[in-house]
Amino acid sequence: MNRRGQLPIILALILSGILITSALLTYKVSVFPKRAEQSEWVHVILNAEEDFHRILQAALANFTQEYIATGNMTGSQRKAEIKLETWKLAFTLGYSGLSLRLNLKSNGVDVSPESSYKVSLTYDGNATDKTVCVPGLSIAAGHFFNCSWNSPCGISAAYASISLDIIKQGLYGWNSSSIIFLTLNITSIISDSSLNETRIEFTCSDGQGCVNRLNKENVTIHVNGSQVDLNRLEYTGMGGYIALIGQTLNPPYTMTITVRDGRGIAVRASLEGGSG
Amino acid sequence: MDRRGQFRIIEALVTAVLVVGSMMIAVGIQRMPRFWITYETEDLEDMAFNMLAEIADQALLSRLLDSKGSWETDLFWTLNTMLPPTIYFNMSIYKMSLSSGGNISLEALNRAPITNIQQENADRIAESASATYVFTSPDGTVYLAALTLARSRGG
Repeated sequence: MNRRGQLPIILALILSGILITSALLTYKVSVFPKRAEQSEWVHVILNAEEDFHRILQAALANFTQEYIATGNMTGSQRKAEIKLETWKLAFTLGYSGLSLRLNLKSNGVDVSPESSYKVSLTYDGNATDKTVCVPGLSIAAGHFFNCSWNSPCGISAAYASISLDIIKQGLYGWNSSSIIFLTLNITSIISDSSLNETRIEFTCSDGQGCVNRLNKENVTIHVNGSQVDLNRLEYTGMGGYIALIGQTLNPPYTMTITVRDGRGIAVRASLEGGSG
Repeated sequence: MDRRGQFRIIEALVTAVLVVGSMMIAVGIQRMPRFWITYETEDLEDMAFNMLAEIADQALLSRLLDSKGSWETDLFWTLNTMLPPTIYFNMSIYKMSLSSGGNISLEALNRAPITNIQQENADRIAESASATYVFTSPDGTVYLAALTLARSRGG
């Protein structure tokens, strides 16, 4: 037999092999699980990121409410810091099987720069614009909370950074930071003695944008240290509100508005209504 | 008759059969169903974690726990509605608080089991996985939720 005659069969065998192998490879690629490799550390990090934000929010709410109740800044900060410390221990215990090393710290942050703006004051039709200097607010390194409530532009803020090592799974150096704040700006006061009412306009915003879900129960107004009844609260859009109180304001007076949002965070703004 | 000529014909036929046959096999492989449904324990873990994260993110848990009524029943029906019918679940919630000694203590909150696993279904469980989730309520209370999911045979 002529051995050269086997050549077409050998070529055909090679060609068949190539065809079947490539078909199998294509098939394997198409059925290969399309998922990223993941492990329990993904859950821990997702949980830490979400709950760190929640605890910072809750701690700021605790700090502001305590500060309003006691007037003691240092004591209120300490109580809120205990909340953060408790959370840190609780979180570590929640994933104790993974040997977590969790740290919360504050390197300090500038929350808002110093600024000035005009508040419109109208008493029985006589309008004046008062230029108000708003001091900047920063949270010093080593502190998590601060507030500035002694101007018509009040702000309450919290800042912290978190770092996490998951020792058992060999993941080191994950970190994140979060800032939470609530601002309140008094923009206009119109007092009318013929109607015996005062219309106070203010805006309120937080880290997500405008605060638009305030109702009468969320707002408290004090004039010269006494709480006044709020007759009506209207939302005008873009975080703006109009509060109506059933009394006129005669300069000089001191007015304080306290707002407590749906998260429980409180902020206060004060205005000195002088004769000049 | 020239025998070499017959061999040539046989060789050509064998070659053609090989090539055509391999092409048919290749086309056949491509037609095989590709949508295999494979279940892994990790899928159950992910499902349990996602369920806990979703419930906590919507602040549903803290609202349920704040209610003085039978929140265990509410939570049971929430899980029963959200999970596929072939999945069994068992959920426990603990309150984590700082004790006077500076340690964290765990206090079980659910007064009744939040589960759809019946005694008679125990032998139908094929595999199970658990996930835990730490969540903070708006008042700053820290809770630990543990959810165990089990897949029944044929599920």
